[in-house]
Amino acid sequence: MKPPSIEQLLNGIPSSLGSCGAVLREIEAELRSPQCSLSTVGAAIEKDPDLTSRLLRLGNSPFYGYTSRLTSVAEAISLIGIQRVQDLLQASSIIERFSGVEEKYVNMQSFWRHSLACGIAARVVAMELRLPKPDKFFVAGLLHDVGRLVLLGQSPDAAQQVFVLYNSRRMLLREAEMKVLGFDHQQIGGALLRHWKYPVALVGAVASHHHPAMAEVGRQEASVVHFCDYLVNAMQIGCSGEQYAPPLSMKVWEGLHLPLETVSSIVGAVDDQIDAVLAAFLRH
Amino acid sequence: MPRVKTEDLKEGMVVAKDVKNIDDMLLLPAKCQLAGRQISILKAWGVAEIDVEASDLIENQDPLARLSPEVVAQLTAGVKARFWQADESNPVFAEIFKLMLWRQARKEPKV
Repeated sequence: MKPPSIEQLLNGIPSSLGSCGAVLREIEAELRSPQCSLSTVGAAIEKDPDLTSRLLRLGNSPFYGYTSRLTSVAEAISLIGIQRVQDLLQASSIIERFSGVEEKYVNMQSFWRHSLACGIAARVVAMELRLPKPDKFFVAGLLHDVGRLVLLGQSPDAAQQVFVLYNSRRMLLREAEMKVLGFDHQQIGGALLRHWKYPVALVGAVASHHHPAMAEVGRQEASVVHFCDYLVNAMQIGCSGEQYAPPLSMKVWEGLHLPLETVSSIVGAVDDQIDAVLAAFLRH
Repeated sequence: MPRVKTEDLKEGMVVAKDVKNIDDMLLLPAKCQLAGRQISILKAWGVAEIDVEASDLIENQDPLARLSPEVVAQLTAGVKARFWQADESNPVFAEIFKLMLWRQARKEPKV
């Protein structure tokens, strides 16, 4: 059977976001309005009780490390910042969108655990390196393997062929994807985020996280995610289908200028935050 | 017996082997229990690390110390299997590998 093309995989996916999409659009509209305030944005979010509880759970988790308890959305927004809230809601809506994917080859809880761990690590690395907007790195880490979900959700037959080949001998899952499909999860993920009109740096990071040098834009994000994907695979926190820590490019590592002794604190931060962040993003 | 960096030494740890300076002068004898003064002596002489007896105090330094060689070998093999490539001559790999091994060792039940 002929494997599907990237376009065919994306055909079945609407070009807008799921249920959070409406709230996100409302927030965006709110932000453009001259009457915008924390309480009007907060009110837009509070219309969705599920989003509200996620935001408060995240705001009260070690992810942000606030000591006092956040009780209202307005309070959460004022501390976390509106841009970050938007990023987090967007991430949350993507997780929700893929909730029904067949779990024969990849357990969804485990997939998101891996992805969130990569996001947490990427955010901590960005903070260590004093890069602007560390939450952008969180989103890039969170979504780096989303192409796998598109394949599993849109073409279970092709996904099965990939996993049958992968399980037949020692190889990387990405190599099995290339052999069966002629492209890999990076390309699918990049195409999906372009389809959803995500920022180009995020598209670049997801589309090139295994070879950041090839990213025309978002190379720094791709490099951070490249390292963090390696690290959390080595930590064996969750699994996105790949059972090995993929090769770490020494060129990318050197380009990051991350002191080797900080890796220990990154590992510690991921271990400290993962359970609370997972609880904030996943309903079950 | 675990080797601990001088800056990580804690009072109450027990010196495992005689500590001498480069002129072979004895600074601390084996079996000596460390107090603040002993640690200061090591710092004053610029001793980077010493061997100490295994104890709960060093759990944070080297969690492998309290495990049997068989368990350590098993953990090492398990952690190595996680990597697609394991180049032990690469210092970045070596450090990350050590971190992963220690992290795994801390999850082992106490013996």
